[in-house]
Amino acid sequence: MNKKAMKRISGLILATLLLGTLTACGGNAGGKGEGAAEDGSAESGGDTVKLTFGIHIADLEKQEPQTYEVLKAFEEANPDIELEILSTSDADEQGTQMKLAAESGTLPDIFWCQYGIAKEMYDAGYIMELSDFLEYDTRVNDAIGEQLRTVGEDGSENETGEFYGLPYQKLVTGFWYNKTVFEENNIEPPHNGTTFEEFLEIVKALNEKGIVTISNGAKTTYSDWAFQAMFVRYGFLEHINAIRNGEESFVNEDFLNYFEMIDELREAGAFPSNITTQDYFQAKEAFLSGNAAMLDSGQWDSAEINERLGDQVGFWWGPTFENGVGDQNVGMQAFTNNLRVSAEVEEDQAKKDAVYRFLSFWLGEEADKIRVQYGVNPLTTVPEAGEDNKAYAAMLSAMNEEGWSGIPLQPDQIVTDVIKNTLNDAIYGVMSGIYSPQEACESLQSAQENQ
Amino acid sequence: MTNSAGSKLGRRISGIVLAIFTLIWMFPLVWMFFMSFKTNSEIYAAPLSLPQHLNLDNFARALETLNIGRMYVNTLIVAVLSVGLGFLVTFLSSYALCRMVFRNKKLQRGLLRFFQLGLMISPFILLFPIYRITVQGNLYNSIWSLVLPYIATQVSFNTLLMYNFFKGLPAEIEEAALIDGCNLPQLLGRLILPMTKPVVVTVIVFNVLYVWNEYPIASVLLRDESMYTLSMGASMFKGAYSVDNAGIIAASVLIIVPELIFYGFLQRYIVDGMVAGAVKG
Repeated sequence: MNKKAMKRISGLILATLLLGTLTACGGNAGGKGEGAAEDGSAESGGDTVKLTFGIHIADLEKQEPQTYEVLKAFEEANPDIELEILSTSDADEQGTQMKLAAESGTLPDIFWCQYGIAKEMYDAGYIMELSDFLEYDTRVNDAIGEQLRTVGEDGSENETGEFYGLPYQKLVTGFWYNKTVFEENNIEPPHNGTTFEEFLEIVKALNEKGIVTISNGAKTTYSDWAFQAMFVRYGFLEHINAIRNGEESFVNEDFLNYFEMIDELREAGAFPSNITTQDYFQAKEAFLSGNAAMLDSGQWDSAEINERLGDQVGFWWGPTFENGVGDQNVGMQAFTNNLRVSAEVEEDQAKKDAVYRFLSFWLGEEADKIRVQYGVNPLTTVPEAGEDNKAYAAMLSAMNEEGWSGIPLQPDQIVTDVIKNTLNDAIYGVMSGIYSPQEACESLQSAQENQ
Repeated sequence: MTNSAGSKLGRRISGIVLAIFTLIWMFPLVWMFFMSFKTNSEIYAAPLSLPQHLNLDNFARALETLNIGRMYVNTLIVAVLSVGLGFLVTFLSSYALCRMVFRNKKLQRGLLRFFQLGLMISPFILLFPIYRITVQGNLYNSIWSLVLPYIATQVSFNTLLMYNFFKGLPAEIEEAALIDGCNLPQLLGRLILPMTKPVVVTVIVFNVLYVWNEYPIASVLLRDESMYTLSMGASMFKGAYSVDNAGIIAASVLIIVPELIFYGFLQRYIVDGMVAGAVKG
């Protein structure tokens, strides 16, 4: 074969390859998955209504199976509604995506979005107001309607009764503790009602035996859930609205007492020496492998903890404080109202009906049953533990403890992103000795003034 | 000590130093390879230790979680189209900027600066305009939503290398070819292109590696899992409060092995290309 012929053949192969790739691209060009509208929202018409659901979990089936199963059950129960799941990999990426989508008119019909960004989007008219839904679903209205109408997502009084977020999950957080570690060292584990002074003695006793009391990792700064609840016991919810209005400052006696409490725990050796270099996942592994007595975490870990520690795990809300503010017998049981609906849904009645049916199912009894099967708290029904999940049973026991009630709002969920990040940094800053209590309060006040 | 003995010792010392640097550079890759056989618990408990067993579960999980074949195909299509078209555009524009006689020299310099301006701008700053243009152009969630921005991000780097390389080529060769009856397409295809081989390879290697690893633009412009490129793979192992590090590492090994092979085959051209393109001019 001569050189010219070779060139012609290779040219033909290249042209075929290029044509092939262009054809491959053409199949999806300009479109989303099959059936979805070009603009990224759902289509309605004909017999099937198509809805898009934007979520901050990349692989729902593996990473959040209870949500995956709820969505699957919804589709099975509603064959005339087709649900397309649009995933991102985490909360930050989801926030960025939703902002971009809102400004380009491509918001999913229903989507997960945290308060700070959602408020901006609601104010700009991109998110639908949902009080109408409570008239559609009276069961949900009876279960959580009053809370939604009266308390704003930022914890302030909801003067208008309007709201634009429905519960995505019930955030129940506190300390998991390993009973074996306490038993082996002849130390009585804490119980609901244990005071800070009593807890400090426990920390010192564990420290003497060379055991880390609370497994924490500063590299994931949001992993300070039990300390968020303690902040509420120091009057966070009582002070925050006045601070927002400029009538009070983050540098106040109660907040100083709160950070001094963390500082005392640090001095007593409550936290791991490598707190600044490890993340939450390493901290969790340290607890699960018996190298720490307690883990600051929540209900999402119950399945994994149950698998590794079984009935050797207990759950504790955290200490009460003599110098605290308000009711001390409270544990974090906060709704994260992060489920939003695009304002464009309002313009299409068929789609709006489909969205309301979805929300009804999401907050309904069947969905709650699925959640409980996976050791996740139900949203509108009374929880009952499955026989197999001992960790979840321990948490439920704490939730049902007589004389104890739930904290409805987690501090870092009701402030702006700037304050949220500063608050998490301040807590970990004091835990690791980088900040003094005074500096922690001042950093928050400075963020408040400069945002 | 004689001169030859001194230079021999110098060579040995520099050899040892280079070997140390090579080991330091290789350590993360080797470490990643070993970690891909460890369980999550082993990774957390003893991150630097060797794996206790040759555990292939992580790879099985990675292959089960990721549609890796589809991701390879998508990435290859994006790489071939964006690098091919990007090269074609900048090869022609750089040659024109270098050889065309502009009446207004300021215009010529201005155009060159414009083409190179992108080196100073992070493409991620332009994420929002890119997103808007993509949506308005009805390209969202398609291969072309990546191909077009990737071409744009390649233009400045390609122009920098190719313009400077063309500058260093003796114009007499081209003049001789033209006198012999060569037309412009023949001149570019048969004479200039073969002479620019080191720069071409450098540009292709760098751009393919960029496309292979690019995440921020892909994560914003693709929503359908069947359209995902390889760089999206690692994010599939992360939940809101959970992360499968062993899965991420195994997936990363699967993603970077072809890259390493590709780089290994072409790396000998890269230094030539960088030097040829960057110094002259």
